Amino acid sequence: MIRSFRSEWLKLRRPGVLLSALGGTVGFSVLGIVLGLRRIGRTGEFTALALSQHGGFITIMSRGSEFIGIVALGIAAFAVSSEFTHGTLRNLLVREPHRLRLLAGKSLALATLIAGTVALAYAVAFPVALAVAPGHGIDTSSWTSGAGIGSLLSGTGDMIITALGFGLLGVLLGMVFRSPAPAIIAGFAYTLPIEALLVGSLGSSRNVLFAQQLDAIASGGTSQIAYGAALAVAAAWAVGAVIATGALFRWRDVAV
Amino acid sequence: MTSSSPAPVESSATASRPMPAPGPRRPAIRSTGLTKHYGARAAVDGIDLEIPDGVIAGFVGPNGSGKTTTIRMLLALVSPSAGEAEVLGTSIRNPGDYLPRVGALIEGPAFYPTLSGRRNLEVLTTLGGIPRSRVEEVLDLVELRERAGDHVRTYSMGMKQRLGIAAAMLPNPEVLILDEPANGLDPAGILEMRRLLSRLRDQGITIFISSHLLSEVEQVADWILVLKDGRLLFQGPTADLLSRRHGRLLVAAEHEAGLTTVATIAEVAGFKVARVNGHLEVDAPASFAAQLNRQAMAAGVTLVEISRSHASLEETFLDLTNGETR
Ligand SMILES: Nc1ncnc2c1ncn2[C@@H]1O[C@H](COP(=O)(O)OP(=O)(O)OP(=O)(O)O)[C@@H](O)[C@H]1O
Ligand SMILES: [Mg+2]
Repeated sequence: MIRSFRSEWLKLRRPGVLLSALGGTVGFSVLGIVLGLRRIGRTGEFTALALSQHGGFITIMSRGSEFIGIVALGIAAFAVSSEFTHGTLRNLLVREPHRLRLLAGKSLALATLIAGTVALAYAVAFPVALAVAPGHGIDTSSWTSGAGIGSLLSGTGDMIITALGFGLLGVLLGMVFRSPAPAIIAGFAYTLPIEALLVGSLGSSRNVLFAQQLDAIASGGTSQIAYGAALAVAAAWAVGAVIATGALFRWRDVAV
Repeated sequence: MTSSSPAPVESSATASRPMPAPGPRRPAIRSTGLTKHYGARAAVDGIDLEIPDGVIAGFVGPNGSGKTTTIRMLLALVSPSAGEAEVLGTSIRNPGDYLPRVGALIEGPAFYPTLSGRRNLEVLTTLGGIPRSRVEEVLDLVELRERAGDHVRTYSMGMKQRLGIAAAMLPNPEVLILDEPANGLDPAGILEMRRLLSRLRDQGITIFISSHLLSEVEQVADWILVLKDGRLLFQGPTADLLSRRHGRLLVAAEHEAGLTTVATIAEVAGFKVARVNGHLEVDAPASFAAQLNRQAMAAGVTLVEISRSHASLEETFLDLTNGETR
């Protein structure tokens, strides 16, 4: 598994992959801050007063969780499915016939990439937010307090969990479709319109749908979905996705 | 015509390459009743392979005959619908036990286009736990070192093919499985590859190489397998197959009556004969000509012509592959 992990990183080190991962995550985050702060409201969670609390930065960032999630999903779906379209999977499997080991190492490498880019995005976005926020009437002094840093760290951790969840979905879709375009399109379609439509027509589905839970985790829980419940439901989905991906990969013929 | 028939002694004796000494060595690749169904169609239909250790075995069949599917089963990429196979004495159900000793190029080279050739090989050495020093060695082997730093997408078809062979050589394999390795190579490249394969075989590596052209492999292969519609039509020493190809001598005698005597001589030597327009067609290799001439002379018949019929290699192959109805 370590060999598979290291071998995958040789591919992830490609400038194209790194740039799209970093560019996507960091870019979305910075853009999210700059644009998000222009839409500060007078009421609700997103007021200058609320954002001046120690968790204000995390509140802004968690609004972009779907975008960061989609970047993670896209990277993972591409990394898995392109092994099929390039035909490189057959070469990999001759060198590592234990398919689950290959998959585990690859997934772990993707997980480190995703976690790393999210952490970096937060590290870049935080100073940007510190610089921009006062211009919108936000007092950032409590962001840098002990409680502020604590919430920064736990908020980053939550977003990493969210991004890993989306990444896992990407791995599953890549394995199902074995081709980047349909895998990524299916992932986007499910995350954005499909879940939104389901929640719109059946409100209680909010408590079970995967992306809804991931979004709630990124915010550290919401008024509608408690953090612990979101974690538990998302974990159940994740276990299902891991089993489905592993079974597909373990048993399906590799005829590409 | 489902397996090798005993060849005339002559043909084996004149084989240009020494066959490995017959003995108790296990075959490098063996299968019994190996079958793969895709839906109702049998892509591979109960084949019994037996490839001796240390030979170059040519696996020949027209497009769609099941070569790649067979190779995929031997590499545990595709699971058989029925039957068994062993590579290096290990069942293909335990690929982890033999694949580290196998190198393969399957259905054309496949690489990450935006990685360099060298980095592509490093992905495989890292994954397979192979010393990285092998990368430069195999790059030298296929003479690709100069361009090894360039992205694979900038490579010509032949360069990719060579990189594919390099990748197959990474683990220092005991068995090398190459699926249509000559695709995209120019004549010089093909010649180069043949030399390389002969060299590797002389080092003791067993090479299993597929092609849809008999002419492409018959010059290097010691052993030939002919596949058609998923069935094995022939397997055995190349000399046996070639004896079928060269298998006709056209003989004319000074007096047509003498041909009866000639026919008897040929039949006693184990060859089939037929009379065609005052000639005798003898199903024998060219090497039989001298013996035939001598014996005819001794029997008092003067031969005025002995020529080889010019059935081409591909014709023989087509004969073999068309002759069989499903
Ligand atoms: N994944 C698949 N699904 C369905 N049918 C398949 C699949 N792979 C191969 N086949 C069928 O199996 C048969 C054998 O195909 P295979 O690729 O093994 O032939 P081949 O001898 O390698 O041909 P070629 O010389 O064209 O490479 C063909 O009829 C092909 O259509
Ligand atoms: Mg093929």
